[in-house]
Amino acid sequence: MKVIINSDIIYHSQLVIDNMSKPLQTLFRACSERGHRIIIPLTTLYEFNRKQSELVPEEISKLESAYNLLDKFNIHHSRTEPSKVVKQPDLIGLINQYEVKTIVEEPTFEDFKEAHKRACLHQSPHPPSIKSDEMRDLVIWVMALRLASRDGGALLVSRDKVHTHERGDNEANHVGLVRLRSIEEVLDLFDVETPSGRLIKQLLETIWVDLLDAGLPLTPMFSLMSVSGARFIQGVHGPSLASFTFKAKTPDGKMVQALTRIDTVDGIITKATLSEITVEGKAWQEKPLPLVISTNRAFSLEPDDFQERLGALKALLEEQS
Amino acid sequence: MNLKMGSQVFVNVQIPLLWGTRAVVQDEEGWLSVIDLAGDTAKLEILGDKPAPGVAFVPTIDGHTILSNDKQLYTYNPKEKTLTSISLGLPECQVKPWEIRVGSSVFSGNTIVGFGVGIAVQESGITMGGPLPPRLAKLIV
Repeated sequence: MKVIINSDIIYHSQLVIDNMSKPLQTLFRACSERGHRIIIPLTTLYEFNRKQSELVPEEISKLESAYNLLDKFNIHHSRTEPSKVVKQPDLIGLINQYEVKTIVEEPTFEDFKEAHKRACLHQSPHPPSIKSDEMRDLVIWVMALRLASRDGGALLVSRDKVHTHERGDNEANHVGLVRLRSIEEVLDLFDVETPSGRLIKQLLETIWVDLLDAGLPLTPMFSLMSVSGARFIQGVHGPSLASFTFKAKTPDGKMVQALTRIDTVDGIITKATLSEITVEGKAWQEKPLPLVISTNRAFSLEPDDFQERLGALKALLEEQS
Repeated sequence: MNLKMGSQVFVNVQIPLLWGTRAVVQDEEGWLSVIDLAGDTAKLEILGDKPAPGVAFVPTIDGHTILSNDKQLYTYNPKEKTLTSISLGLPECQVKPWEIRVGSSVFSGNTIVGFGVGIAVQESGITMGGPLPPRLAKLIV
């Protein structure tokens, strides 16, 4: 699959020296391992280079200041010319470190013409509530549609309103363009374990026996295929609520999927509520839904430092009042 | 409030760092807390580097994304002490021991005395030393 990356995903507010951010590194590794290609629209490359080039003189100046400070106090040091050390990063070179195939995609004349038309006519997917007609976003949108149409699907990673607005749903679905807003969502799609996935796994494993007792068609041994759409509400001691969709295998190898909500109180799982249960895509009808399972199982939490953290903040604020 | 944060000294300042409508404070342990003052009462969102009780969030590879009605608001990276807006339209804000960085602006070694807000970060720009904006909740936890 081709993974098209918008500039808001690849944006770095600080000069990139050796490595990009940790989430991007994880994404590139995941793409490399699965044989997916990274597509950097030329627009994304230009925007990345523009921001990074603005940061180069700032870093040179900081390094000069550091040398001057050392000189001021007669601290012996070696000196390398700042302009030789501080360089504008090569985005493609940085991505290639992860041995993932990367293509810089230039917009075609047809892309420009189509984007221009949509901008002028306020056509989809531009949200009606936004005043600015952002050509850069429209060019990437048209390019993503073209690539998805040509290759039988593609993935666009972007938080941009133009790219994520529901006005683009039909067009995207028609050509198989999947749109995701964050790297974590991409990793979920690729079945790469994310911090969310790890936490969900821990919760589900704890109540697996209760799910089996409730009659869910799951393998006796805990085994999870994937987790998506995870959201949490924080409690005093770890999350008090988790909602997500999980996929697992039935004992005869079919795929079961369920929208799930898990309630916890002080590190004890008290309830699991499962709805929209399907087996091989068909509604599971053996029990009325939602299936509510009461339980009382403790799950292990990271070290509980809530009181310490609250105490530190209260001390700060009370000291001031 | 009198405190030292990101090498700035805030003396008699009500809110040292205001990121949009969110007060950002750093306690003696070095942990950051973020308190949204937009409503009638203050709402604690980040408590000492972690999501506060009652807050909707998603853990990420390098921190937590804070949500409101399923909308991603911002991400907090506790290792880098960085707040990155997703839908708030604000520049990134980082508190390092030697500086506070807002977007590409860096504040280092300043003393700010007797203001409602020490450093106010808005979509339109940054103000150093200004009055407390109207209609903000009181900074209490």
